[in-house]
Amino acid sequence: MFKIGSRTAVIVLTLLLGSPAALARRQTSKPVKPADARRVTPTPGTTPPSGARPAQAKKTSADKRTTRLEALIKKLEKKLGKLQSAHEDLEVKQLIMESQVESVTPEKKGFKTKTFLGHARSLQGLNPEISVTGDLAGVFYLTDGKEYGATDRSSFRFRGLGLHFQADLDPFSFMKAAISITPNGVVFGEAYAVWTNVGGVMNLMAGKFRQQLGVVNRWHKHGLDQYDFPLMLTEPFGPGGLNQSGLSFQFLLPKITAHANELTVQVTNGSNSKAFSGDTFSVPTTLVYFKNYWDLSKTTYLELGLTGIVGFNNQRGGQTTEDLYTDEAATIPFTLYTGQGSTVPLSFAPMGEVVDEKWRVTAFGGANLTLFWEPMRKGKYLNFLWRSSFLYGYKRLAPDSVGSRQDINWMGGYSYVQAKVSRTVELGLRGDLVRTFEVSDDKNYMYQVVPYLIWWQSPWLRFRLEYNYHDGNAMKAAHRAILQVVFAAGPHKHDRY
Amino acid sequence: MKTRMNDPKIQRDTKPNTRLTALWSAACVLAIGAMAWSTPASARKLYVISSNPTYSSIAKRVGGNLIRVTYITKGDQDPHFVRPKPSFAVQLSKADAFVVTGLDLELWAPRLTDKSMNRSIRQGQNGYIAVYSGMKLMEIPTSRSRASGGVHMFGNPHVYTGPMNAKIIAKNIAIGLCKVSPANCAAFKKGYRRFKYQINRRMFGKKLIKLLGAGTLTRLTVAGKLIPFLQKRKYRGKPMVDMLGGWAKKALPLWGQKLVTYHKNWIYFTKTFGLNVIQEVEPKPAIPPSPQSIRRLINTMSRQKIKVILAANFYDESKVRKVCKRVGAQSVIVAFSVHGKRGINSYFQLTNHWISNLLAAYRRAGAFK
Repeated sequence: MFKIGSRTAVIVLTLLLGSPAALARRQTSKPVKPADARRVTPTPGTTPPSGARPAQAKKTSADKRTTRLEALIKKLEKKLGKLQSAHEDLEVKQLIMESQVESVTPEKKGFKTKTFLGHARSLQGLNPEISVTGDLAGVFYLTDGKEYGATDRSSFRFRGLGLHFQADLDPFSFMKAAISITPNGVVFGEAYAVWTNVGGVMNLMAGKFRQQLGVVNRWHKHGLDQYDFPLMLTEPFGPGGLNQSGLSFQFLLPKITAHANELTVQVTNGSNSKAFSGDTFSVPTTLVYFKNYWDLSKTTYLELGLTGIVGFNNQRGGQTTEDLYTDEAATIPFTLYTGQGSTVPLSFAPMGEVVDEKWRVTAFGGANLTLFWEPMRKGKYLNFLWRSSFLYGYKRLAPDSVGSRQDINWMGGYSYVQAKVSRTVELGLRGDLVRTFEVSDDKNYMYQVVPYLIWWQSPWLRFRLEYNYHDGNAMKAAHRAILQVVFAAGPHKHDRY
Repeated sequence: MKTRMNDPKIQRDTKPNTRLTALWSAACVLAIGAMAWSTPASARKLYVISSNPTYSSIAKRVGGNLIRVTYITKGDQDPHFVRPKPSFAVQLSKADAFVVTGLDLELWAPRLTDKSMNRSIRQGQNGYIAVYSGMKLMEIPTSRSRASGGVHMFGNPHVYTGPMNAKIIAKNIAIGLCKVSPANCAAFKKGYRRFKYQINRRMFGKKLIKLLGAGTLTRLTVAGKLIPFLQKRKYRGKPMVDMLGGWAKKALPLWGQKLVTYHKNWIYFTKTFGLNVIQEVEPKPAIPPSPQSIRRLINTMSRQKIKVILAANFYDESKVRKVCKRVGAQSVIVAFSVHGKRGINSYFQLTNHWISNLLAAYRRAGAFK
């Protein structure tokens, strides 16, 4: 309305007075004619001028009129300017309003009834992050004349359905847990809480966890680069590697020897039955891991880790469970203190007896080295990894039946290379060499050669084809071909570097 | 003449005072040392680490000389996949602020934060800056399933490809820096306003901003309606689109052009400049292209006469070029982040780089005849 009004006002004024500019031009440039001057009425009370005087009076009157008109024109011009400016403002305002209308989704009209729902009983959003992993393999023995036993039969094996949980517990800590469901039962993998920046110096982990014995022992089986753990971990600690309950203190140190230095100290039960005391542990084991990390370039890093673990393998405490009579326990060469100065083999230990053996130490020390190259731009398609590890172990055993001292001096290591050759394909080769973890004068050893090929169907599913040649001086050679599929559903992710 | 100072008695008397002075001096030195050790954030440069160099570049504009910035993902590296190396944890342990997208792009970041033992940069703390906050996120999946590939649960996290989002990134960084160093807040706000002004001017040109205001233009751009709006309207009898300046004017020929991208990481850019993404080279996000999917792509491009494929330089260039050769299209392989290529040192240069390369490609393909 105002827009029309202002326009109308401009038109009316223009019609009445002509264009303001033209009017001004006319008034300023046009001289006052004598005829016009004559028509000017003398001001009442003044003497009629004679000669030039009346003309002068007329001129003065005309000047006044001109001045008046000029003032009027200026006023009108000012008003017109304001109107034009208001008109432009309106145009811009209209454009802005239109733009706002266009950029905003229109509100739904109408007033319909609705059902109101609350969220008090549906707080699933606070549930831990849950992931499921599956690990299935077809293992085929290629050795002629193989005596098929319960565990080494050519077969399909569902190694485990993993359930992985993680969540923040509060502003200061978070938890992680992993359970594996296998055809034989449920395996309690890991469960721990982590407090970050405790005392401003360390991360504290409490629970059951895979220990920082080198790099690979921290990983779950489905996340390994090969089908199984290296012999260096399975021979002294059993098929699952080293996984015990306790506390872990992790320190990010100032740069001492490298671009990053980390120190991990873990105090755990000595519950690993092969290296330590098994269920009858009484003294904690202590592990120390010192990591040196160097960025050799933007694309390459080198890591050197040094590990040491000390614990005890003597048995202490009451023999109250039947677990000790399992096959595994029966193979462990320890004896039972009867309390009357003599010892008897465990298999003859009566239930309820108290065991209190002399302290026997177990210790391991080793190093691991990793070299990794990955070009920045082509990291999705290309990389190369070389990882090697060596471990030395000592285990003092109970004296044999004639009372002579028995020790295990053991060592083992592995080395592997792996190369990513495309976005989906990786090739690798691992070699293992270990002594058998036993009292032996023959220095029995075993080795494995493991070439493999991995194909990633997607980041959540991969296939692995692996050949495993396992041989040694005290065993028959075993040839296995393994076709494995590993999948991860949910947000599960592996942190590698 | 026996002076007061030469008097041994007096000297003897002054000995304890000398000791006191020495003690006092030592205490002062220690106190100064301690003060220097615990210099407040306001009195020294803040150490800001970002997940990628683009955020660092914007942070530097906001913080100026009051901050020192560095980044984790390199400019020519895929931001999805970064190894959380210990050396990054060492850097983060000293950081006053950690700038991340805050969505599910940098899944490696929490691991690094944990390892760094720096509580002040954990989410929810003052030093944690999530730049996505306040943005209108796109491509939020309605069906959250891996059947759709590597979908991002909360929406497309490649937010900085949209220049309008860059302003929000700068604002969030300024807010975060203010929390870390309240004494310098005025300077951070000033830095943010300057960056915002520069983005607006470079995006729309001065003339249009003066007429409609940057806020209105931003709203229209985010809604993807800027060009249609300007094309439909006149001001003082002239088409408003003639008043456009900056990137919007430069990229005007791109409006409505069909495009194939390698990955779903350009949505904020293509919506801003009106490009019509028909398909991706990846059949689904994070799923590598198979021979079949490449065949389907070639068919689609031939049928729909798509002349350009846009890809970040960390993807497989050879595959892109192969497809382009088959269908007579142009490949545009660009840096995806600041420092992703030599000479791209700022957000402005990065956006220019994208627009110029696309324009050149469409021109070569004869799309502007």
